[in-house]
Amino acid sequence: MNLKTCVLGLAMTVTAYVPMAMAHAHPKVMLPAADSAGPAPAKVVVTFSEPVEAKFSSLALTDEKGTTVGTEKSAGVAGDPKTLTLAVPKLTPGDYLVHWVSVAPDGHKMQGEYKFTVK
Amino acid sequence: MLSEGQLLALHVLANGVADVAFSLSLGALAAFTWKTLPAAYDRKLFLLIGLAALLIAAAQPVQLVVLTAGMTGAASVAELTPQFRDVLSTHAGWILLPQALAAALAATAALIPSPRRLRLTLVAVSLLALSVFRSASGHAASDGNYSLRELAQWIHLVATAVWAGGVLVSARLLASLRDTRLQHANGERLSLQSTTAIVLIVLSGTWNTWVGVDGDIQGTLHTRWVLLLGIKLSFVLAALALGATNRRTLQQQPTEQTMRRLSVTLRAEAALMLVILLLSAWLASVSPAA
Repeated sequence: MNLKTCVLGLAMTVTAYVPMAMAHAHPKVMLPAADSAGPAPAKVVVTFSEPVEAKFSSLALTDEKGTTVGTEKSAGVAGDPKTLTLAVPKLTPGDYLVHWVSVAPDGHKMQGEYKFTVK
Repeated sequence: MLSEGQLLALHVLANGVADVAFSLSLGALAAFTWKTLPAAYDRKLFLLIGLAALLIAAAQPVQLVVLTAGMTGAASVAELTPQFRDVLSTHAGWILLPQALAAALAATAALIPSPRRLRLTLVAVSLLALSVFRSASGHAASDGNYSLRELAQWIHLVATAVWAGGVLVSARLLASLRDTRLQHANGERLSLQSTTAIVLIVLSGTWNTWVGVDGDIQGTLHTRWVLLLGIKLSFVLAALALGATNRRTLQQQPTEQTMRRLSVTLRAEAALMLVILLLSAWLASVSPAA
């Protein structure tokens, strides 16, 4: 552990801003996995690092041209407040981007995207 | 239409006002327990609690607007209004309601004259409820209600408010007292209260850190957020240094000169506390990934 890490640890301890640091739900498990290549999935599943407000969180899929794929909306999973799923039509080979938006129970919003390839 | 910058400013302002007001209300309530203040100060302390609680209640609708804008991306009143119901159905949204209610009850109890004991009890119960709801409004909420994490957050919030609020209230109180022995007695109560609060802040902060980073402090390095945290820490350390100076001053004979010195350093510490609370509100609005 270097000096910078020690100082940051002390700062977080005294000011207790670690909860704030982690107060954002980010993707922890993605199916298909980020930057993976494989067969076409029937759905995209993202499990976040903490529970998300399903009403304000979403997944969307676009192809190489940036065109939205499918018409389904993403949904939460009953009994698993950390996971969102998005049913997708049969995907043709190519690169796809998953755009995710998460709103944590404290109202903090995050968004991002990751790529996967269908062979 | 609200720009991203205006939204951030509104968020910081609403959080900052609520944090300062919460600290003032707990600081004033704690001053009642010292039993060293003349009875004439009761009215002033109740008035301070009442006004601070009113500010907290008034900050909740503003926080709802900011929260709705942040969660939905809506930027105009016409876009925001239809979204309120959905936002209030989320944890972050609904928890604003009991906070507003508890703050309004605390204000009512503090501002409407009633027997002292009853008034103090009602204020204390309302502020206790407010503190519980405030601790459930942050990240600790992700573990669900009534969790160990919320308990640690509650201890941290209350201890921080008592430390900051005690200093803010005392900076004004001690300056208005004429009797040096009375000033000294109140200064000693504040010193003991602050020391206890700081111990609790460090213990609960350590626990929060342990749980929160999940062994990955490195992951939060190299961000603007860390820079802001560093600035805040420097103010916290300066406040601790001034607190230590006050403690040394209180170990000396209570003379007019030493009490004047105590009053000056206490005011400087109070100014630092205001900056720390505002920086906290700013930190609460910034993503650590930024």
